[in-house]
Amino acid sequence: MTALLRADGLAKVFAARSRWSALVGGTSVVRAVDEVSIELAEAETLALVGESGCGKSTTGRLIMRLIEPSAGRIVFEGDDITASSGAVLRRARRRMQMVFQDPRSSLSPRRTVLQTVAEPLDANGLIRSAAHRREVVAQLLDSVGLSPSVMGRYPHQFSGGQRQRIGIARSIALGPSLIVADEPVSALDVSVQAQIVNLLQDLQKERRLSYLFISHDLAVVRHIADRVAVMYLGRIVEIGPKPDIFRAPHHPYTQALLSAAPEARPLRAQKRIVLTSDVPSPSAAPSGCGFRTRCPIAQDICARERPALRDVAAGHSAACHFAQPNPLGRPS
Amino acid sequence: MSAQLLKVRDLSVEFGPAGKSVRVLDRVGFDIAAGDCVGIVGESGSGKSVMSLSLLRLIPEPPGRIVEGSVEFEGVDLLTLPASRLPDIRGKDIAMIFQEPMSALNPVMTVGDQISEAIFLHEKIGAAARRVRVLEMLQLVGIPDSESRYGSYPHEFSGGMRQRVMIAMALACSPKLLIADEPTTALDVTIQAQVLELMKRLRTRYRTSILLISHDLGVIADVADRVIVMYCGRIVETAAIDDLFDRPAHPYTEGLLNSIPSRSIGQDRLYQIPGAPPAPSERGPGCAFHPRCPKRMPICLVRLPPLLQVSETQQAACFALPAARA
Repeated sequence: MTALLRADGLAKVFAARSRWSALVGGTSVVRAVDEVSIELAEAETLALVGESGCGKSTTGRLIMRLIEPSAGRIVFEGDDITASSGAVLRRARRRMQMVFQDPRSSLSPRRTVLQTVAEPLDANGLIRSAAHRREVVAQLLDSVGLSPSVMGRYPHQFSGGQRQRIGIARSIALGPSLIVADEPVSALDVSVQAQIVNLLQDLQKERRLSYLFISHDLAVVRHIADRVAVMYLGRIVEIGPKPDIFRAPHHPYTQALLSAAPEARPLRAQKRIVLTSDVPSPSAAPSGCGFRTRCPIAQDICARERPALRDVAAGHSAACHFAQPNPLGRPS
Repeated sequence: MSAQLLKVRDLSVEFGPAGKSVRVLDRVGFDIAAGDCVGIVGESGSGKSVMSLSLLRLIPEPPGRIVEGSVEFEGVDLLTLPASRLPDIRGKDIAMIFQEPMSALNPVMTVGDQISEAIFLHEKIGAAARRVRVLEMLQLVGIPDSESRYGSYPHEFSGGMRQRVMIAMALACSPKLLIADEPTTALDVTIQAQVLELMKRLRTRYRTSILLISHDLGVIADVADRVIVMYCGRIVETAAIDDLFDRPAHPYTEGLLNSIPSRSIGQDRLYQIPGAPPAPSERGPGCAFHPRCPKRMPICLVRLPPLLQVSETQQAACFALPAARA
């Protein structure tokens, strides 16, 4: 089976040039994303998880070609789109769409639902008449659980969950195969969040959509993902099938991240691993393994050599010199 | 010890001009004993933040107005206290921390001086003694290298560190009650874990009472002993933390618990509460949850269910409870 999407060795380097660094004559370089390789099959959900600044959103944007990669290759539906432009890129973009975190800022407040949802159709010349336009939009609204009667309303007349439904309707308008969803439920209340997660899953089944699901919320990821990639300081530190990642994390960061999420079912017995200090700034990343400054099991080698991602089980790999199941000890 | 530190009764808040005002908080009442940690959970618009602000009369008036109720702190009603005496209590006996530490800190003042100022306002001690206290506080909240960090500005700190500075400032005068409004919502989970551990440690060490407001039941479960569930400006359930998770009494609490993804592991679909909370102006005379409630009865549309005793430690406001039929 060929992958729908393959990204190889993606990197993005930002030159952080401030007014001051111009005076002192230096630019600092931020490697926001480095050596990220992922594959996504049809109708599959790959979750990209990690904390703020780990490069997960940048990775999503690189894949959409919303920002230009500094290195690496992106193959989507068999075409290398890394450097394509014009008609080739436009064709690819019809098939890859994005859903954003905050529908309040991603929907234009001055456009009606009809205008917003029809925009991608208009832009691609797929509309024959005003009646056809209304008909297509009505169908799209129906498939995201909104009544077609809301077509004439503006975003501020909707609740957060409904606005996210409008954003999703727009994203499926062109019949994409891939949706990059960047924190799509993070701004929503928990009871509404469940509605949107269910909707995304229903649409996936009906339309065989693939999701690159970017999230910091492990509980949601645990529900929706098929595979999980954990990022830290711009790199994938562990990637594998969801059950493996949650049951037997092999990277100490993955294990700490999983144990840090507060459980909504109080399991007082479970020992939480609390990492000390903060994530280092990506402009001053540590030598060797990026996680070593916070890692409870770091050794000398971790400062000298950057651990490569290596297989620990079928389809499961981790970037740690001491990768083993639950490296920080069994949760009691 | 069982003496109540804070007694809130019938606290009601309205927003908007007289005649056209909407009630965003409706007859809320609860107690906090010394050393207690009470969690308040609710979704956006449930009134939880308005409630925490009105305890210290911090809601902007106008448009807000506290229309009835009392907030007794150590026997003194804060709502009838002359406004000139409030600054003695705010930041001294009752301290508050907010969600976004960047907007709560002064960007042009070093963090050391900001904490020092908080002490200066309430205690007449000299500059040298204040500096010692500030360094102690910075160490207490786990800021490494406190000597050199004293002179840093807020922008030089990460989000987690700023929240620690806020906590250090809040604790500098050893408050009896700490009100924490979504203290970890803006933080990453590994940093959130650090801040929650810190709050737990402070509680056991100084017996500070905590009122923790959060939309995240996981955070509440981690720190609080008792939970108050709010919906549309009212308390719909209050219970000991384990009871709430094991035996939720109100259909809203039940729905809220069931929609948490980690509680439906292995299931195909998440449980979902249909619809969304009504806007304050759309609330009718009955139970505000009835349009979304699976146990809805005709009475729910017209009458407001009172808080009923479910067990010794649990109360809920619902007509479908067995206690409502007694």
